[in-house]
Amino acid sequence: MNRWIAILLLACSIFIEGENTGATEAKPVAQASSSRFAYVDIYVDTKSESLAAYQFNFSADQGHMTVVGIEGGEHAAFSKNPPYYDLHAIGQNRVILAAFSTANDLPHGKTRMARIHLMIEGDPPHYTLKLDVAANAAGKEISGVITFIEGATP
Amino acid sequence: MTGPNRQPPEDDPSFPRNLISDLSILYGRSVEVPKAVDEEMFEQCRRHGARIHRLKVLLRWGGGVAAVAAVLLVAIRLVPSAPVYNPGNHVTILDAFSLARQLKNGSKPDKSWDVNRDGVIDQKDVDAIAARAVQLPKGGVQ
Repeated sequence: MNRWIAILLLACSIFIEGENTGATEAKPVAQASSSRFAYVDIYVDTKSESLAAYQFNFSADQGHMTVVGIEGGEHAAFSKNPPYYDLHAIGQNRVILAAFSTANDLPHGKTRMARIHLMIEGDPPHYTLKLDVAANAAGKEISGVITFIEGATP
Repeated sequence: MTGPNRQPPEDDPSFPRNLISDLSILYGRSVEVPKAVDEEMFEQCRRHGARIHRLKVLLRWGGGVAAVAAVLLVAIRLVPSAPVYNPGNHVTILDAFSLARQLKNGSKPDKSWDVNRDGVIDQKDVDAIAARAVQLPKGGVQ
């Protein structure tokens, strides 16, 4: 009799364990439903100097952000091709973007140089943006101010 | 060198004609110079003249060569030498941009820019340098 009771208890515990496992696996599904897509527009302002080349670092220190796509800038000199980036950056929360143009017509002043598409899960991430280098048409390093504006993808 | 003190007496109207005539009788004898001495004198003059000529030629051409060398030296200093790709340094997009500008200008880039070692320096090398500039550290940041 005791043997049958033990077997019954074991079967019940296995059933309950299975139920719990199913709940744990369901959790990411619940998280995925809270994820959203957004984009970050990157602007570089070189004042009166024309901008022919740039390189910057973009990352998220907090939150859960994943880079899912990258677009070029708004000016014709930087819109034809996307900027250079490491393909491994897709799926990560850090990317180095860089581009140059040998065109005669170059942007100056505040110009959108790139758009980074993101998937954000959970809390809004804290972005870090650093302009590594900027140069004019002669290849001479110039100073510039880099900023971003976050937008929600519909 | 034909100052008034050196004027020959026969040309000087202040000298009496008789005095000139007498002096000529006393000292106007022609001196016999041996032909060998005469030729030696001519030879020495010729050698001396040749030495002066050589010196002049040397100065003329040497000065010209020195001037040309100085101009070349200044030109080499002033004209920037072709950029060299140094992968030991921190590679940025400016390296790729430098090569792209050289290719656009039609100048012949230094062979150090052949980063993909295919024997041709072209857009593929530009892309390879740019790819290195944006390369994330291994493993990245997840």
